[in-house]
Amino acid sequence: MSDATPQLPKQGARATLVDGLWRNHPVSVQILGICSALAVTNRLESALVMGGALCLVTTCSCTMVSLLRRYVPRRVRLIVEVAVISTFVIIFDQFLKAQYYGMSKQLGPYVGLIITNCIVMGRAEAFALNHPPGLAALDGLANGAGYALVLAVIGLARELLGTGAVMGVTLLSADWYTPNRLCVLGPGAFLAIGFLIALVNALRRRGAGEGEA
Amino acid sequence: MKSRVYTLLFMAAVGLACGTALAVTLSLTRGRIATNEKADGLRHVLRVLGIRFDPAAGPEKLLSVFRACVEVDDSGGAVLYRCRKGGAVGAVALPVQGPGLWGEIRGLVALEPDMRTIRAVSFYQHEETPGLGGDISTAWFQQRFEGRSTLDSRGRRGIRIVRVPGARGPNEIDGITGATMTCRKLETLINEALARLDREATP
Repeated sequence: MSDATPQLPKQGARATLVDGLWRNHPVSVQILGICSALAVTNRLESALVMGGALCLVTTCSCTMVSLLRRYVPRRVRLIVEVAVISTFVIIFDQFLKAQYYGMSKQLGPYVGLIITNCIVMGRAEAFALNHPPGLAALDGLANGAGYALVLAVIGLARELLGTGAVMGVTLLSADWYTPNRLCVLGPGAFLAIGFLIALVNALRRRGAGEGEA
Repeated sequence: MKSRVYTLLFMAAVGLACGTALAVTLSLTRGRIATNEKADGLRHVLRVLGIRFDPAAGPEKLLSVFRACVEVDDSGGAVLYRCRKGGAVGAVALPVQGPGLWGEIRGLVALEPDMRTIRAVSFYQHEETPGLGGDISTAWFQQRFEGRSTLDSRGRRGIRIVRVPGARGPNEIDGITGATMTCRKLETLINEALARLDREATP
């Protein structure tokens, strides 16, 4: 009896996209990848780079894992996933250090920590192993983009409310707005994510209610 | 049937593929990253010597500004950075490094041309406790050093980082509450660098 991984029935490309971006959103629904979502969102620029990095890594890793899915022995599949993910992350990290050294220093250890990000490994294990490369890539892209979107929103909110400026442009002038320092610190991040998850849940519940009515 | 041999061979192949990909990547980026790190270090020298530069400047630009404005003097044992132009001409930046509380502290102490008064300091690398000893890399702490003398009221070389708010003498600087040990280590390594400077200056 072969111990190749079982192949699930195909699901459409559109369903895959919608899942990653909304219905099964990695951060607000699956509650994954919270640590980095808290750590790098104190500035919008960092949040965007981090979101882009994770999106890229997830897409590439899921594609690669999917390509290997018929050849990977079940027992070592997690090790193979980690190896693939690590390789992509380190390549990206090196590229960042070479081309955007300042940003690399700002993000600190968090680019390297993408290896441990539950979203990447989670999608590789839960989806990429059981679906063809095209869908796996799309799923990786959708989940990564969903994560990047959340990071961008939180980054925008935290930087705007915490400093009054966004990416160098002062929107809330110091004349009348006292920057809320809590936003750029840890507790502010927790609160921001909490509010976001609550909002998403409320919207989803209302949507489901209307559908049933 | 996927046997153990197959698993072993598969993992070896994966290892080889990943290793090769990384080796290629690293060899391609190594040079550029080294330049970036070197240029980043130069920022601190430029800053303490008051040399103006564009904060967003790339490594090549920083290197050219450095070469134009700073004279590197390694005639003695320690390397000194003397400002030629573009900032506080004649000021000398002295690299300082030594053990902090948790790891090595690296920094620069810039002295005025009289080689006695501190112009500016930068402690840019350390592993001290964030929020306590880690504040040695903040502007508000480093500003305390500006204008202080490295000689005490009797003319002896050495600075003292004292408990807040106790700075009275010309060479005393207020420390950080809750970071007594870091401040002590910092004081020691700065004074050692100053002592070495004196030893090498004396013919």
